[in-house]
Amino acid sequence: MIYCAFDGSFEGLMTLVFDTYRISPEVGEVGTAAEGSSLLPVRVFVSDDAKARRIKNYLEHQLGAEFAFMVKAAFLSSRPGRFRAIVKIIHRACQLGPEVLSLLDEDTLAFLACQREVRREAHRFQGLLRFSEMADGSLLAVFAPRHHVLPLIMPHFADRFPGEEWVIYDEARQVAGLYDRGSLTFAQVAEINPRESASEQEVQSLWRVFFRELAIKQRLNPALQQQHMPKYTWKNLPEMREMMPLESLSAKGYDVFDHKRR
Amino acid sequence: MDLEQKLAILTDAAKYDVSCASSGSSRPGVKGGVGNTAAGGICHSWTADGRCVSLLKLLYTNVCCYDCAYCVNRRSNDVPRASFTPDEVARLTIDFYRRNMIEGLFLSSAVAISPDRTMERLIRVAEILRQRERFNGYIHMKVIPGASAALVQRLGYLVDRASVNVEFATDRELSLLAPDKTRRGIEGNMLAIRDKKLELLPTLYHGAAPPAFVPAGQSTQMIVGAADGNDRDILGRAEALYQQMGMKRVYYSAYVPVNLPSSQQARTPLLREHRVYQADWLMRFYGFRAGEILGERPNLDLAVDPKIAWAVANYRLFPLDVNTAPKELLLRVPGLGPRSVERILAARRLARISYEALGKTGAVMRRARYFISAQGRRPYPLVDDPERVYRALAGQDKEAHQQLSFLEAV
Repeated sequence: MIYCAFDGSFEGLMTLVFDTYRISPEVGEVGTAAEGSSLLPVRVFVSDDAKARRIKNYLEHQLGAEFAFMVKAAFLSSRPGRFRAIVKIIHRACQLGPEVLSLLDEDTLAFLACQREVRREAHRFQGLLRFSEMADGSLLAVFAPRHHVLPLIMPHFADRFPGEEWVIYDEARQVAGLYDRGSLTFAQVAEINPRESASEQEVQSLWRVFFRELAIKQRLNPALQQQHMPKYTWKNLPEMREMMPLESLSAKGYDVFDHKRR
Repeated sequence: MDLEQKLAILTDAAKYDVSCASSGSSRPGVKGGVGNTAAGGICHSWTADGRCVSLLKLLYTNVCCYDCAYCVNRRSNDVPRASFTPDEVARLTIDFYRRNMIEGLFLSSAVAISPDRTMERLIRVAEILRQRERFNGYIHMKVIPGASAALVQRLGYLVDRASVNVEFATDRELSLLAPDKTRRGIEGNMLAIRDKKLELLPTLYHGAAPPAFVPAGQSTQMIVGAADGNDRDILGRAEALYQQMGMKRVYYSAYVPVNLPSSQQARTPLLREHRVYQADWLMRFYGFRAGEILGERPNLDLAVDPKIAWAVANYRLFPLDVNTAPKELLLRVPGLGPRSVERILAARRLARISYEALGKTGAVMRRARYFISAQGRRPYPLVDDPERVYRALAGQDKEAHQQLSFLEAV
């Protein structure tokens, strides 16, 4: 068993898939050279465009667009075992075809879990991302997802707001996705200095009024709310940033449903 | 009155309408326009009661000429009244939509002056959004019961979804609680939408596709427990609406007696609404008929979900072998859903499924174990007595157990 190291890029990982195909059972862990890690002996695999292209072609044309998309999604995951899961699943799919995904063993389930989490979070942020209007009329959204979902959500917003100029900033990874009337680009940005338009706070406070009035106060269920809208997303949501604590809600006559209180 | 006050009053007045879905339409963005729609719908937030916020849900006005016994906005109630202008609603929709706070607009209204006059205002809002603002996101509008067919048609070309509320399962309840509405008026509007949709079904091989008319279909809402209608009435009516009106979705809402002093309130237990929803899912996704779900009973069993109730009543069909049982029967096993059944079918094409592997298909084994076997093995020590299975499963439903013991204690 060896620790297979690569440069962290998608091309690098695809090269590694190519180079380890004949020694698949020996692949113990997969990660970047910087992470280094375990007690296993390290072997470095150098990224090679020709090899990477062969694997990518194989994914697209032999295993199908859905399979290829799953691999890309899994690559954006933050789970510790993601790279190993990707390498193993492609090796086995080369023998068994895309039906390999129907097996119920640990490697397959790990791969499926990786891509599922990423796609789920991408879908979640299609809803939970919030734009603010800037002084120049453009839109800015800031978020901090657990997985690197920015590349997956950009096309959705490009389709939705085609005539605007907007930026989505992942503050955890310091990556910005920029859109200007048709073209998508990505950039590393260490810091942003937003200047809001004059009416921005007014719209946000109207939104908070709507959000507050919509709740049926005889049926409060904060646990359910938080299950759908986990706390790590609150910081960038105008309606949750100024959330009232539960005690003050009860004091105002709201009926808070609490499992523990009976 | 400023916009913030209006928004507060007309959101508060709209919140009991339970529909929130933005699903059923799939329309890409257009150049020069704002917005698109996603087939599966998107939730943008969740209120403190745990409900999804997808659409800007508002009443256009809460000034009403009707006097329905169950409704907070009835004529004889002393509540603050407000009305938007079409421009105000359009402005709010666009401002929220651009910030990705909503998928679109869900506009309903009290009946001001007459059904047709009210419908004209709603249509005006939709026209401003679609034509002036080039808004391409989701619009769901209520049809005011009894509005003329011509107006319903005009509305249908502007919106994604239209809905007329049936309000109550039986005519008796409707005439008692909503004396100004009639079943003929309500179903007349539904039929008008259904028939127009059928008329416009794209005729293959002939010219361009017809313009979209209510592309996301119709939905409706029924109140549970306001008078003496039982679950058989409710599920029977829902089944007829799905089959005869082509309804996409029926929503249910436990009755909240907003017009009675709190001492007299007999709120419908939320558990009943929950069971009705579970039965509705069984009809829509699991191939059950209303009659099968209820058997001989007038009301659903509150102690267990209706799928368990059916499986226990039909215990002679079980256990099913997951390696050979047909899909339709697997779907009827408590603890298995469409997704886990798909995984079982895919996995068993490659190899026989062992009992140990079953849990990895997403099956909820704590329920399914009473009803399945794998490779001749039963995951659970054989229980041949359906009564015991019933008791074991009823004990698992903690929330139902809590609510029931609470009801008994009162």
